[in-house]
Amino acid sequence: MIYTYTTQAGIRLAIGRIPRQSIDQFLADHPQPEPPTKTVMAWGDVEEHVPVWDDPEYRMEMQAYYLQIGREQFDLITPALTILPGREPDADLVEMQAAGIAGSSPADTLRYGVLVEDGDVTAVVAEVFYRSTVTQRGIDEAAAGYAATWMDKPVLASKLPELPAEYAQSYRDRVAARFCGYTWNGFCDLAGPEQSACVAFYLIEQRLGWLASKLK
Amino acid sequence: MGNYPTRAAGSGRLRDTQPEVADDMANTLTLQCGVTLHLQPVKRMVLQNILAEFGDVGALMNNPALLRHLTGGQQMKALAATEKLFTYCAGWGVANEPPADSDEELLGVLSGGSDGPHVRRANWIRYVLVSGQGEMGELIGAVMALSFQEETAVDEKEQRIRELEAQLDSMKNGAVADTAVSFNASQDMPE
Repeated sequence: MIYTYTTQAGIRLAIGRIPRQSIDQFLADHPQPEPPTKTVMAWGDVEEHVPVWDDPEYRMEMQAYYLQIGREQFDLITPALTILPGREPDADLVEMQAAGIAGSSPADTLRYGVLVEDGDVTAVVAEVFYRSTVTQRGIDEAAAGYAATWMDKPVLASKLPELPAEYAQSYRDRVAARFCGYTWNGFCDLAGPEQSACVAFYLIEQRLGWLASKLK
Repeated sequence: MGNYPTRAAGSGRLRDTQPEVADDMANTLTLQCGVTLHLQPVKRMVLQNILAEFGDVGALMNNPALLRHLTGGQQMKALAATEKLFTYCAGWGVANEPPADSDEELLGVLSGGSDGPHVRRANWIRYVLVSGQGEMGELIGAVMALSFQEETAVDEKEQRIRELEAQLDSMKNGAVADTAVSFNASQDMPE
């Protein structure tokens, strides 16, 4: 099924998918700046290092980071997008290309001529990601379809005990892939919603197992 | 920016004052040559894309003195991005039209074969009106301020940043806590 999106300027786009590995690589290549920390004394005279989110230098770094990633994400999503016949990018794009502001690459066509409103960029990027990798939207949709409840509440609404363990979401996805019987490459070949459904299944099973263990 | 030939319109007498921007954050800028430019907001996404071409913006914002220590390649990149920024702000962010008696041949040649009205306007401002790099910078600043401060623009920008933060926080290959809470955000955003 082809999904189409119409921009605020009336340009129609067909949205497909990109390899999940491209997204993983993109995110790995663009680590988010870390905030500075300050030491505070917590209860029991224990020293804690807490992040300073409003540090001016950090905020400037974050602005620059979003500026950079906002531009480079076009290179990532371009292979998934096709401009459909109908309304074309306007004359501004042609002039910007002539003036050297915009290049002639497909990514620059999107950057300067098609996705020039904030709302369009956000919507299209979200859709490409939804179709390509595990997303919260995909997990929510799959979980709603499974309709798994525990005491009349959705199983995923139940909290697991907070553990000191931390891991990347790609690790969680790999565990879910193995849990569902896929190789990693086989899992990545699935469309985004199927990957998300696999993860939702794994998360529900994980919680059901834990909830059932409490009954013993 | 390079040493462009500039000449003042009107009397040709340059004033020593800075360009005047009206107090109401406004949409006019009076140049030293006496011409008042009527400004209009441009597309923020395009501005942001051009700004990102400056390279390591974060480092430069934290320490502008780094500009003096850029390598040749970095300087060329910054120069090209500055050119684009001026052309966009002057061509698309100014409403004035070149006067009928402007040097059509000159503007045509300078437009590099482009007949587009925006590029012609940018060249008219660049080569005929502004009196130097300082004034070019003032014009860029005024158009950018207007574009980012129109009505709800700030809110929208912050919203955009929040959206990107949510997008990245949930997608990045960083660590996530092993709790159900981490997976229950009901936003329509990629993980």
